[in-house]
Amino acid sequence: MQPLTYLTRRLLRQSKKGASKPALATLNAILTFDCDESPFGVYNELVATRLGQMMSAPVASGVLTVSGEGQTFAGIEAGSHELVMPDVSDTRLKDVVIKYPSEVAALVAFDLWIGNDDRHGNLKAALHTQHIRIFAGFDHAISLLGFEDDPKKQAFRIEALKAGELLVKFHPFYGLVDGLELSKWVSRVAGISDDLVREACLFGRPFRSVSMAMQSDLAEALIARKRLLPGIMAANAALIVG
Amino acid sequence: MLASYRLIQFIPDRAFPAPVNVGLIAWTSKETRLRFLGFEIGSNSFDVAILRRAFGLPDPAEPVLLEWFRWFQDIATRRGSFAEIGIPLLEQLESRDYPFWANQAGEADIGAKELDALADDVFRRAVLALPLIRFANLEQAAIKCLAAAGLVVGQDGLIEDAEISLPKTSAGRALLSLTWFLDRAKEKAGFRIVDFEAIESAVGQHVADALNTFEVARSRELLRRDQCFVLHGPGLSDYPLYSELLGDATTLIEVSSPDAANRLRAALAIA
Repeated sequence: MQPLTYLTRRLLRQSKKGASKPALATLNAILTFDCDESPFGVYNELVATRLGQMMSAPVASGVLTVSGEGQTFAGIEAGSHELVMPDVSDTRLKDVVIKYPSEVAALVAFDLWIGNDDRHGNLKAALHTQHIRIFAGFDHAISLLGFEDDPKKQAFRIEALKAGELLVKFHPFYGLVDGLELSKWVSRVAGISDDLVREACLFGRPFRSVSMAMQSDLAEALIARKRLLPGIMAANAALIVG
Repeated sequence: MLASYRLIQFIPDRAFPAPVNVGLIAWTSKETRLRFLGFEIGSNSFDVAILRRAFGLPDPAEPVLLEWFRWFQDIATRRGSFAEIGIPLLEQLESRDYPFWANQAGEADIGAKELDALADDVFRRAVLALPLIRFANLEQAAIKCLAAAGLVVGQDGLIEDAEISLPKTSAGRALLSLTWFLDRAKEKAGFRIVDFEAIESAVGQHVADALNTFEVARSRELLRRDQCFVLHGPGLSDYPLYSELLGDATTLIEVSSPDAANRLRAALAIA
């Protein structure tokens, strides 16, 4: 995977000492807050980023930060030279698959695993310059634990993840993604160590409104789901691969 | 028939939003047209360097600018009603903190086949007439002229934005600022751009700066008269005195004229 570049907002101060000439700088970021529509958004974003990096999925980086209402997730803005890239238009999805077949497959596998059906519009891709490769998904606030605050509905969501339900009924790359590439990435997800998944999900303490029990349930659901992923893909091949 | 348009504006610095018009999308219920700085409709080609130069962006910004142009082009060429499909996408731009906005809107009552004319007219008045944009276009035309004459900026000694520090003399130090400076072993030439379509006081200042620069260059024996070039666009004929003064001290090349490159090549060969 090619590394992604992020926007530097300001270069504040550069040291004359040190071999790497370290500099203090600010980067652009999009902050995600927990709210009624997305009560677990910060947790979901952080864990999804960890899981994405674990499997080398092309997802934008992000970090935890503190804002007025407490901890928030700062998704670092991908782009170049103070210019944010446009989101991918619907009419260019085929071009994206042609230029980035493996990355698209990785993103579909990742979204299937974390139950993310909000990929539409949350994608950056450089299409028009041959040598420039930028491809990144972002915004995973309603994946994983979803957005249901009600404990019963929340339990259903975890159960659905664990039981291998498709969950991702719509995806911009359904019907376009290369089946062989997708199989490779699904196998990669299935092979991820259980311990790594637990380390990504468990914070060792409640995190905002996400209890330790919810973290643990999610980890076990994801461990089960990664094993079921080849089956999910096979059962829904007509929809996913087309 | 009612035609509507949205101006496409670029935000050079998102910390201090001061949008600059760079294009427009105009539409009726049946058709849509895109005009964009650097976009040649006839050849369907896009010269991203004009946009980059207009805002002093570095070369690596070009791919992102190109993505944005194609994004607008995609919207403008989608099937279906632009008002229903395109407008919601344009309206997202400001809220998503993107470098382009398209919120400034206008309408006109036009004839059945007048959408192109409307788009061209608004583009000319709202975009091309802006001093910043006009100068960027002039600069790009000058670069093309240099290239057609066999001089490629950044190669073979053709230095862009050259600041030349001359040896100190009894007259003091001098720092010459040339738009381009050709610096080869046996070949030297200095180029300045003058925009004769700017406001009168600005034209006077540009001319004075160019004359002063070349005077110093000649007096300090950096350049000879035949090695001094003023590259300009239309409008010189409105300033006969400036034309005479510049003509005495330099070679004037109108970069938009068809024989500009040949004239420049011939002048360089003589020099």
